[in-house]
Amino acid sequence: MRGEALYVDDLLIDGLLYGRLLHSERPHARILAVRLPSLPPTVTVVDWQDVPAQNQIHIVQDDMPIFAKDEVEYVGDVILMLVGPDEQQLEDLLSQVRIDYQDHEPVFDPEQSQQIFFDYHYGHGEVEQAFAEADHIFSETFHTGLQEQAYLEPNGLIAVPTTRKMTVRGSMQCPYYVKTALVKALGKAAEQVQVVQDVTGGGFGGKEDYPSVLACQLAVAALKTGKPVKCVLNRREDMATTSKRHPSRCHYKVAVKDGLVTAMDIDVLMDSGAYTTLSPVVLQRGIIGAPGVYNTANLRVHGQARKTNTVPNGAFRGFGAPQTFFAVEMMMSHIAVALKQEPLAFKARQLVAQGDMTSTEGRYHFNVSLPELIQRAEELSHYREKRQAYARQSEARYRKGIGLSLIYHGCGFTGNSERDFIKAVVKLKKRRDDRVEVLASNADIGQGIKTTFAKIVADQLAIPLDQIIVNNPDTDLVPDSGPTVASRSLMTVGQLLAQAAAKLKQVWEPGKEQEIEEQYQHPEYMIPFDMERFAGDAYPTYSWAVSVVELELDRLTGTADISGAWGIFDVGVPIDYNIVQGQMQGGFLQGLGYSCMEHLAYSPAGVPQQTSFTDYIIPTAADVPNLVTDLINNPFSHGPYGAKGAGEMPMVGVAPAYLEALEQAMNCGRLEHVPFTAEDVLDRLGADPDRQQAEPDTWVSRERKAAGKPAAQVKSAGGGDPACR
Amino acid sequence: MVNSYAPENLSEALRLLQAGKVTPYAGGTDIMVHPRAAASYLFLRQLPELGQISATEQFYVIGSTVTYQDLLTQTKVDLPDVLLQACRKVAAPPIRNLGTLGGNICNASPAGDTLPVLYALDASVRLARFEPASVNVKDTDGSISYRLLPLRQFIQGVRRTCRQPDELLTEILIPKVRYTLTEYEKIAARKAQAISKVSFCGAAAAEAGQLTRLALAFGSVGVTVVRDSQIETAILNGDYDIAAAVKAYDQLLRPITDQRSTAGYRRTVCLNLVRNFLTAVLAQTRSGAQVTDQ
Repeated sequence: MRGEALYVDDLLIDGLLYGRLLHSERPHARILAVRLPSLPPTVTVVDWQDVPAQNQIHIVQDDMPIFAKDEVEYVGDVILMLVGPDEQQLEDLLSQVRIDYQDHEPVFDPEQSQQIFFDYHYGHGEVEQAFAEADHIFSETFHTGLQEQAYLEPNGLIAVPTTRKMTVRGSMQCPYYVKTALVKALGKAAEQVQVVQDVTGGGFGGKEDYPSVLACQLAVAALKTGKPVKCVLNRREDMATTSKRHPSRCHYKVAVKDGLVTAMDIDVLMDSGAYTTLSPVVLQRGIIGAPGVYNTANLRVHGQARKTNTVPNGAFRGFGAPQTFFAVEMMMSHIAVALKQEPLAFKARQLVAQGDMTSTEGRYHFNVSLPELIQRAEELSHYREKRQAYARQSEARYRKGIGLSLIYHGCGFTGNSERDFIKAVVKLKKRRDDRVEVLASNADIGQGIKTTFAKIVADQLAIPLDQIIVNNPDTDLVPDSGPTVASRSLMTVGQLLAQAAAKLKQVWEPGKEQEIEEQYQHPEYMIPFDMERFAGDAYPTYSWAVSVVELELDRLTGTADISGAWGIFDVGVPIDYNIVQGQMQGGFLQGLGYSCMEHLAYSPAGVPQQTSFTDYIIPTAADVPNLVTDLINNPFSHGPYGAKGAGEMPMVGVAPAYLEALEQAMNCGRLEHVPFTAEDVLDRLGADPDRQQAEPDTWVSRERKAAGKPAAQVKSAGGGDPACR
Repeated sequence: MVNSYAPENLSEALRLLQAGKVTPYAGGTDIMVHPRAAASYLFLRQLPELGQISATEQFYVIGSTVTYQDLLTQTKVDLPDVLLQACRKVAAPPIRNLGTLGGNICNASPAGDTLPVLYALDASVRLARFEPASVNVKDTDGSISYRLLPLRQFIQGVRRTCRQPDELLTEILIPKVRYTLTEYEKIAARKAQAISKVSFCGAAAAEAGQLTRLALAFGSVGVTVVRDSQIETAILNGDYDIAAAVKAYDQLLRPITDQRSTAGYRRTVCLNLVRNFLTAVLAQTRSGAQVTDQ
């Protein structure tokens, strides 16, 4: 560690100007007039009129404007940019700009939204028949909240215009996404646009779509002024206006016969925010994972993403999966308790296994390692023993609980996207000095991909690691090997590099310049994915995880001490053990934040309320002093050295494990949302014990309903203790 | 051009303070959250007069620029453990290395971590100002005048104290009182680096089965730390049982909902903690009574 890394904020270029953004203060309004203060000659205004080609940013669709023209759709929508040599002067001038708005009625609740951005259905089997024949039918609704990526370095870029091309550089995950958006916005040829990634201080998905937005704004400003223009968001601006995890509502209706789940009918609603951005793909991953790791012979899944007048939600580690895996794991646990069974035992009886059908009529082609992971989790955490012991606690101030969840993460892009859209290409360039440069577009954003790429290539070529060069990607130099997303970089691009290196080794001639190119081949075993029907192999393979959380609840304050946490992971084979451990621990911690403290809410006027690290609380190491993460080996035949996707998975299963533990400690019935804060705990402990039963979405088993007994009795028969105080 | 100053002694610091518009700067951990480019700072940490910890017969005397870390590591004076508990809950090591007890007081945030303890322990603050009439007197001590006032009087509201612009807080005085039971609780959204949602300090002394002293202080539930002598006296006198005391605090406290927590949560936690503390105090007092009876 030498401290030599230069972030975009550190970069100075001759003639550099700064750009500061004017954000909408209204959630939904028509712009009637823009009133500017008198501007010094050094300051330039940039707005929609300056966009040379298309005033929409290409992400998946092209609906988000670069600069709002007539309408603003959320508090934070960008109306214009002031460009000049002095940032403080720009801030002062921005505060004097007056916008006349004509307000429209904003929509903040996706349930109330009439604008459905995406609507998907899929399923299989005889769902109605399964419900008709069920012994029990359970239904419940779950909610998950917003989450901010909280990368250390805020978003920031520089646009540099030259006579021949536009160069945009800075903090990003996906140089070619940024390039495609710029080509469309500027109406330039591909070779006239260059995108360079600089050292990037974390992304977690938050630098998947947003850099395309800022890049278009800055490139328009650079074109107009003819000077390089830089914008690095400040922390509050970044937290208040850039993408976050989609809030969700998941409704589950589950049929149980002879003690096993026979059908699931699932309805998922995600809050897209003001524009579509990445919502279709987030929703797809979410609904594909909705039945969890369980065999569900009869399945019906409906998913929607609807518009609200809030910050557009986008990518965040897990990408739709944390929402639905939370819901299905809680649902399975609740059913087990209602059936007077131990949750893990109930779940373990219906796990998918190799050769079984996936939720989308694909196949689990490879070993499903969950039984092994469960065994390891048991050895480390003594889950079953503790679960039983904690069921016999007194109603004292402090009470313990332990919870466990089972999840998978589908590795790489959903469906056929790698084959049909990404078509990844990598190159290896051998120099005359026999050093080998890796040419791939994947960005090291702190996850260590430079190290793992270099290790793969060095090992294949049997040359020392320091003979491998991996620079930050520059679209003028590297082919498009796809974005840095979806836990794909190592598994998919790393495999291409391994193949390229193997080829280079065969033709290696010392002292000679050589270049090898390798192109993506869709694995032959994969059942083609039908995007209309959601049928086929959604993913080439799956990583698996068991998460265990043990906690001690202070019932006077509603706060919980996490006394133990265990994450057991199957990422195939770790290429770099320390990097994978770092990912697993960091992801687990992010999952804990999602579970209990990362509360982010909008004011009634649509303004995000927690926009600093003082108010938006992410966990520290002190919150989970005893975190244990462990790996098993389960080599993937089509990944480099057996590696599968790793980065996103550790985040996915933590929330249901935490909440199951909290439920046991609270001993106060079912919990159904995250984050479940200390405020929520006291609220629930102090609540009328019958409150849950008074909610419209009741917890009813069909038999008992038919017998005419009130639902409250069903719930207490299901193991919940009505004595909540 | 902005000047900042690093005086060598208190007298020089006070003269600089009187002369111009300078902002006293102890640890800087609150000031630097919102740094002002045009501010002129008066650095205080190097002043020997403000960095001492000592004890007299009646008081613990803590210099205003003593850091939390100093308090936690010093071995000279046997400081009240409940104060040290609060210091351990402040932020994280970098802030504890810089932040000072005097700064915590002068910042006058209702969420100041040590304030409920200092309120409960009846701390006073000593303020110094320079007397211009004595400019030419060689004995510099003679040129400084002091006033002493209870902390509860010194802090007047959110970020509001009655320190005059030419005054410096020099020392915090904590009466040496033997308590038989103390408790400090900081409730925050995470275990470190957090601003409290609620904080509580209870201190009680019992003798021969009689409750002789009681102090109950609540942080982050009002514009200043909340302490109510009438309720405390009523409990001491036996006019209030636990239920009546809790009810009295329920009526007294006026917490708000903000971006960190809710009014309802803050109220419930305060009442839970005060009920819990009083229950422990009464249990201890009763067991003391039994011992005395034998």
